[in-house]
Order: sequence, then structure tokens, then C-alpha cells
Amino acid sequence: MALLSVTDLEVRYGMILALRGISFKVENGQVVCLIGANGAGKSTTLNTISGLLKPYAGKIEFDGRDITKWRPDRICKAGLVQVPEGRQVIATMSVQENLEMGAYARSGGWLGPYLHPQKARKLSEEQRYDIEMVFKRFPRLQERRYQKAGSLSGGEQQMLAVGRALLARPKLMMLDEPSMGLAPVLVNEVFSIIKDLKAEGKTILLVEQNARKALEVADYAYVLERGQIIKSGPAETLRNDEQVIAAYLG
Amino acid sequence: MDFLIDFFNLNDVQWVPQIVNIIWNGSLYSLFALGYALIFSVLGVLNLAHSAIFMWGAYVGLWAVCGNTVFDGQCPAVDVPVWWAIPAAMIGGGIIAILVDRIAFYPLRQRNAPRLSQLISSIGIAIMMVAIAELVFGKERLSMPLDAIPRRNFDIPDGLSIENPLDIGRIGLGMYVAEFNILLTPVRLQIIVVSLILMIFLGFIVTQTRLGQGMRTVAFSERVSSLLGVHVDNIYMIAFFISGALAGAAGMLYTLNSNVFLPSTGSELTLKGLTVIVLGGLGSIRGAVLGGYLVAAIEVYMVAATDYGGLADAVVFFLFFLVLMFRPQGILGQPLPDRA
Amino acid sequence: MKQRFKIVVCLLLIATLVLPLSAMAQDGGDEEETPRMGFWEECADPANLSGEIPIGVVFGLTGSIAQYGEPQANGVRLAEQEINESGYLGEEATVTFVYEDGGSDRETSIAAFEKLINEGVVAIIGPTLSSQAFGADPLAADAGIPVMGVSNTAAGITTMTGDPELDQFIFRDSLPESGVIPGTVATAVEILGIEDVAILYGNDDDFTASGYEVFVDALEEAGVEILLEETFSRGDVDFSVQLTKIIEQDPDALVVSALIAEAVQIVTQARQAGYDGPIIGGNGFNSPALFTDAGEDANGVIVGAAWNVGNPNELSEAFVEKYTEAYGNPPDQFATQSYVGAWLMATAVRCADSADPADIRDALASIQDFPSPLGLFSFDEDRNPVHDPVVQIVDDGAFAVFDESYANYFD
Ligand SMILES: Nc1ncnc2c1ncn2[C@@H]1O[C@H](COP(=O)(O)OP(=O)(O)O)[C@@H](O)[C@H]1O
Ligand SMILES: [Mg+2]
Repeated sequence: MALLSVTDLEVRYGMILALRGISFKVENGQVVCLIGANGAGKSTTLNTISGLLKPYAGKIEFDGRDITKWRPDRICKAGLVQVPEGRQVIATMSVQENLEMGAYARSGGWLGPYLHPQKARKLSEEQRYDIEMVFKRFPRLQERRYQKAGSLSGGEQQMLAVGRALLARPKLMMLDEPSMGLAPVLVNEVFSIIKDLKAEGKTILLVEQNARKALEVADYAYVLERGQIIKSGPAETLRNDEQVIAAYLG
Repeated sequence: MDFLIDFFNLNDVQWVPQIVNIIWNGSLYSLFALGYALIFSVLGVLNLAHSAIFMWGAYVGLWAVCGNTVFDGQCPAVDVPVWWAIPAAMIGGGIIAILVDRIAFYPLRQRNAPRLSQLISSIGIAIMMVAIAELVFGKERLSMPLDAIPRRNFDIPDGLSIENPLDIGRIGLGMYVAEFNILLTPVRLQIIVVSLILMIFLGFIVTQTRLGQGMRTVAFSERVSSLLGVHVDNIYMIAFFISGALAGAAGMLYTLNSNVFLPSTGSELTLKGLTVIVLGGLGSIRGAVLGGYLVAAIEVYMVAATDYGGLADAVVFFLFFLVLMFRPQGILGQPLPDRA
Repeated sequence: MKQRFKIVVCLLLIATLVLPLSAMAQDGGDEEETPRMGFWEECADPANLSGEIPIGVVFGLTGSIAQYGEPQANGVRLAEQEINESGYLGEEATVTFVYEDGGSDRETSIAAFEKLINEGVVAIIGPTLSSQAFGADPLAADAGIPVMGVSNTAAGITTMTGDPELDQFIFRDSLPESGVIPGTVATAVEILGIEDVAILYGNDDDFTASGYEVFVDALEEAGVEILLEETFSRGDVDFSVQLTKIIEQDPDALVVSALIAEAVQIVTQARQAGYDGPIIGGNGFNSPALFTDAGEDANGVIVGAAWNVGNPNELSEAFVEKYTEAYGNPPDQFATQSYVGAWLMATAVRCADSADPADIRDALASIQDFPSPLGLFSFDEDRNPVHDPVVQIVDDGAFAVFDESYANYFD
């Protein structure tokens, strides 16, 4: 049983058909990438999985449960966490608070964290430890711990966004174009972070326009074009696929 | 310094009692504005029904201590301690605020309606709430019995003794009030104390708790918050409850001071509250508090130091205008993200 | 019950036809007779009247102003009943009062006047507030319809247009502040030895502002020093800033020109703040709400009035009794003045023996020494009322006539 399996997913924006019935799977411990040009429907896919968009048809199963109709916060709490396109760090909060918000999903039931006298205020031992681990992973964030997230550079914001997602202890992390808008040096840095995460055994669904880099880290890949999956296979195979080379790696 | 004192005509002002007037009036304004600001910061929409919730809170509190006779437009007797009205008004105000959200905002939010329609929807429900209050409680002034509310100035009651350490504070207060001609009644002291407690409590919630973090995240972006596991609708519900409870407390304290319960109570506060939060900084908690005291100070100043007390509102709105022109984010506010 | 009432009225009718009213007023009449209104011997029984004669009535019946408007409407209703049951306008004719809500603002009263004028009323009673009268009365004057204020006490009501041709249609039976206040101030100063006062008044309302001006003139006349003047706006519920200033000055008396809602707040808050001296009020204080809402805080309030429920006048006593029976509570000044106003209008119709507004106007203007609960009532050449006022003091939760016995009340 795959950790995440998407079956015949169809999504519309009004009359516009953005996804035309796509199916794919992410196995535990895998890094799977979804490559495609701008406007192919990659973000739509992730947002539908995250529950932000309601599919017109199709089914999404995660960890053995049908999550198609779940609310986004419930999906997040179940361990399926998205790092959205454009980072979306909370600009008005400090780095520390952004990370604390990352652990929000772990803080209990619908009123749990609010009414419990200790939980209401404090992070648990475990959460605190996880935050320290993120700072260990990204020392640059530690230096800017009490700075507002809005004042960070693009690369730092991406680190913060990834760190924040890690704090939810995700079973599956979905990254939406983490390299978008970054200088080449930073792009390499971002992909080395992903490699590290992979090495730690994390399961990742990576969405990228930068097919070359993505195919380097991924185990398995799907190619999305105008809302349809036109090709799939082990990353190794796609890297050598002539059509893919012509369209995405050339 | 002397020049300034002359310029502002402060020579004849009785500092101590007028500052006390500023403090309790300002506490009321701040308390009212806090709930207003809270909804604005979380939702990005002005809840123009806030003053109707304020009024309803006062009636709920009245009902709680007076009983069902209020539905006949009467309150002949108060058999329980009158202060019970305050928590009752808070709970009532909180629940009513949630209903306001469910009726006026939620359906529009679901449909991603523009902020302007949410604003107008809140005006609509405010008008309805006043009309319903007129139906339920009558259009006539309702009052508690005169002796139900301790509205006399603090004095030194007979039978107190300096020997008794418990009496010393009471004697000191009485002497101080008499010495400086302060108009301080138990209700006004209650206004100051309750407002202070609630302000600190709200500040604590917003800055120190998970709930507050959740609210601030929702204020930043609904989408991002739900991706972080925040149940956005619950946050809205809790925010409305807190906002309504603050409005209810303010409404109850306001009416305890005047002992005038009317369906139109608080209608003048809609605009004043808006001024308060704009002056202080839209959506800023500290700004709302600052704005409340500032508006109270201007009002008291105009009456106390000039012959143009009737122009106090005009001066407040002029300042409002200046702030909108030159510092739209308010005195303490940060430059705003795009909100309506 | 109703049947018996009718019989009593018929008996009384016969009795009054036999006994001239003037005799009753002089010697109190027969012990079993209740003095009654109307049948003024100055004019003959009407011969030409017939049908329902419509007279418009515009009072504020909704909102906080209803505490004036309701008793006013009650007064007119009682008069209407008496007038028609007694056949005051002859066998063939009755008067029909057409009630319109004048609200608490100008616009609502203006709309009410327009509606009534279009409906063809021959005269109008109202509106409740002076500020409304300034807006609405010119409409009636323009249409050539006599209008009578029964609670408008601001200065200049009956000369508001400045054009004698129009002004001649504007009457009032409510003694203006200028007719009540000077006597009140003089009496209070004389009895209590007041040397200095503070004034608190509403400056955004015609009624309270003109009351303030009359107070200032009267105080100057009486040689009293005004220590300070403070203002407020309509709808204010808190006066602590003004009272802080006033109490610091320690005046001998506090003079207040306010409507009843604010008056109650000012009185209670002044007492809360520890001020227990005399509070001299304008006409706005003349409402039972002063006692119900301010309770014992109202003790020591001195108010001049056109009328007092304890007026030692037989027509007044009879009116109080009938009103109380009909409505369950005693009338206030506003009810009395509207009651008298309705009777004055009916008398004008009766004396004119015509339903033509111009004739009614002329008859109204020539009313002199009409016996009423207000005393002997006349209009002066400016169509203002002339009758004796009463100075009252609130003592133990009720108005009492203020006299020398209160010289040491505040000591
Ligand atoms: N909110 C929206 N309303 C209408 N169309 C949209 C919306 N968002 C995306 N689309 C359309 O859906 C298609 C897929 O968009 P998206 O998922 O953002 O692509 P990608 O992330 O691959 O660049 C595009 O054609 C885009 O124009
Ligand atoms: Mg995208």
C-alpha cells in the first residue's frame, strides 16, 4: 500500500479544467517528483491533495485513509504537509514563532491546545527539541531567530519554510517549486537540503520546473503537461528519455 | 512649558480629577475598541455590528440580574450581586458575536465575497439587532433600581477605623477622592479594574498562547494557516467570542455607570470605536488601547479646558482625518498588508 | 362601567346647563358637582357646525421622546372624549383628532404636518419639541391653518416666520421659559439667599439653549453671579467632566437647562458626586420620570412650571382625577397642557361656529380668561399664553409648592 495514492483526480476552476484525471503514487521513503512547465497543474495538484481545493472527481488516499473530503488542517495533522509555492513564511512573526507555528499541528484537538493550561502557553519538550534540531540543520536561521521572517532573504525564507514543515513531523512532505526565484548558488543549496532529507529517509513529493535538478534527487518521476500525466517512470529512466530531454532538459 | 500650558489653557484644569475621568472613560473606549480591533486584525473586516453586540451584552447582563421582567420593559428589583451582570454580559456578548459571524460573515466568507459586502452585511445585521432589541425590551429606557448599583462617590463610611489595617485602604481612597474632588464611584473603579484585567488578559492570549499565534497566523493568511494545521473556522469562532465578550463587558460597564439601557445604546460608539482603532493603528491591540485613552483625553480636554465641549467629536474626527491622510497605519500600526 | 360613566356625563351635562360655570369657580359649586371644562359663557351655542371636524395632532410617540408624547396624546384623547360626549360643538358636530407620530426629529414632524394638511385638517396641535415646531409650524401657517404648540417653550415660537401674516396662525398654550423661569429664579434666590451659581445646559437643542438664555437674564436680573457655564450634547449619559469643574467651584446652586433624559442623569450624577445643594431646572424637568428614574436624588430640585399636579384649582383637580382613572397614573404638565390645548381648539371652533381655519384662528386669538386646569387662560397679542405659573420643589419624591417653609431645606 502506497503512502499516498492519487486516482483519476480531476480539478476545475469554474469551467477551466486544470487537472484532467491524473493518477500517481508515492511510496514510503521515496522521493517522487512531479515535473512540468509553468501552468501544467503542479500547484493545483498539491493544493488539492492538501485540501485547499476540492476535486471535481477522483480520490486521494493517504496512509490508508480516504482524505479526499478532509479539511486542510486535518490533512496537515495527519502528517501530509505542504511547503507552499513562494515560501509563504509568516512575515509578521519572528523566525522562532514561524517554527512554533510549524508545530501547531501537533498541539492537540480542536480546543486542546487552547484550554490546556500548560499546552496553551508552552511548547512541549519534544517540540522544543525539534526546533533546536531545525536550528542545527540551518544555523543561519538560528542567527536570525528573533528577526521578523519578512526580513529574511529568499534562501533563508525557503529554509524557514522547510524547517517549519519539518516541525509538523510529516509522514510526507510536499515541496512546491522550492528553487523558484532563487539565485543558482541557492538553488544548489536547496537541492542539497532535499538530498539530506532523503538521506534521512524522509518521504517527499517534489514539484519542480527545474527538471534536471529534480530528476537528480528523485527516485521516481511523473511528467505533467496541461493537466495530464504524459510520462512516468524511475527518475533514472526519464533522465535518459529523449522526449523529456528535448522538452525539459534541453 | 509655561507657553504650552497657556496655549492649551491648562491653568484652571483640575488635573487629578480630570485625569481620573480620562482613565475610566478611556478604559471603556479601549475595551470597546479591543474587540473591534481583534476582529479586524483576524478577519480584515470591520464588524460594524460590534456596537449592537455591546448593547445586547448590556441587556443580557441586565436580564441576568433582573430576571424576566426585563421583557416587560421593567427591572423592579435586583436580588443578586449586581456585578454578576458583567460575566453574564460577557458570555452573552460572546455567544451573540458568534451568531453574528455565522449569519453575517460566514456565508460570505465561504463564497469568498469581497470585504465590502461583508462590511455591508455587518451593517445590516446591526440594524436588525437594534430592531430586535426594540421588540424584546421595548424602545423605552430601562433602568435598574436606583439602589441596586453602587454609584455614589467614594467617601469615608462611618465605623471605619485607622486601627484596622483592612479599613486603611478604604479610608485612604475616601480621603483622596474628597481631597482632590475626584468623581470616583465604585462602578467607575470597576470599569478601570475590569478593563485593565481584560486588556492584560487579551494581550496575554494574543502574544503568549498558541491560540493567539493561531489568530495572528489567520490574520496573516487563511490559506497558510490551514496548511499549518490551524482550524480556521474555530479560530474565527473563538475570535468572535472573545471580541463579543469584550464588547459585552464594555456594554455592561457603560450601562452600569449611566443606568440607562436603550436599544440605541452604543450606536454613537460605532464611529468613535472606528476612530479609536484607526488612531491607534488598525488591528493593533496596543493601538486600540492607546487610541481609547487618546480619544478620552481629547474629549475631557475639550470640556475641561475650553468652552467648546460640543466640538470634542469634531476635534476627534479631525485628528482621525489627519491620521488617515498622513499616517494611515495609525500611531502604533505597522504599514498594512492589503486589507479592507 | 362604561354605561354608568355615560349616565354620569349626561347628568353632569344637564347640571352644568343649569348652573353657570362662573358661579362654580367662585364658591366651589355644589358639593356633589364636579367642575367641568368648557361651556364658556362668552360665546353662544354653535348653530352652523356639522359632521366630523378634523384637527391634526402631532406628538413624538416613539423613541425616548415618547415620555412626553404619550402623556400629551392621552391628554388630547381625554379632551376629545369629553368634548364629544358633552355635545360641546352642538348636536350635529363632533371633533375628530387625527394623530400622527412626529418622531423626535424635525423631518418626521414636517412629514406628519404635510400629511395632515393634505388630509384637510382645520387646525393642528403639536409638535412636541420646539426644534420640531421651528421646522413644521411654517407649513401650517403657509396653508392658513392655525397651529397650537402645547409643549413648545422656546423663545420666539409664535413669531418664528417674521411675517405677521403667517405668524398669526401660530399659537401656543405652553408657558415659555421666559414666562416661568424669571419667577422661579427670583423665588429661589429670595427664599434660599443664593449668591452664585453654575449653569449646565444642552447647547445643541433649541429648547434647552433658549432656556439657558432666559436663565442668564433672570439670574442677572436677580443679581446672582454665574461662576461658570458648562455645556453638553443631547444623548450624553455622563457628565462627570462638567461636574468635576462645577463641584470644584462650590456654587450655591446648580442651574440646569436640559430635557428629562439628560436631566435625570445630571441630577443623579451630581448627587453621586456629593453635591446636595439646590438644582434649579428648566421646563424639561417637569416629568414624572424625574422621580421614577432619579428617585430620592431628585429631592431639592426646584422647577417652575405652568402647572403642578397639586394645583389648588378645581378644574385641575377634576382633570387629575379623570386622567388618573383613565390611564392609571396622574397627568404631568405635558398631559395637562395638551388637554387644555384640545379644549382651546374646540372652544375656538365652537365660538367661530365655523369649520373654516381662518375663522377658527380669529376665535382662538380672542380667547380671554378661559377657565382651565392651568388657571384663567388668555392669549396675548403674540398668541403666547398668559396664566400664573407655580414654583415647585421636589420634596420626598414629589413636587410640592416651593415657599418660605423651605428656607432651611438645604442647611
Ligand atoms: N485560481 C485560479 N483560477 C483559475 N485558473 C487557475 C487558477 N489557478 C491556476 N489556474 C490555472 O490552472 C492551470 C494550472 O495552474 P497551476 O496549478 O498553478 O500550474 P503550475 O503550478 O504547474 O504552474 C493554469 O492553466 C492556470 O492558469
Ligand atoms: Mg505552481
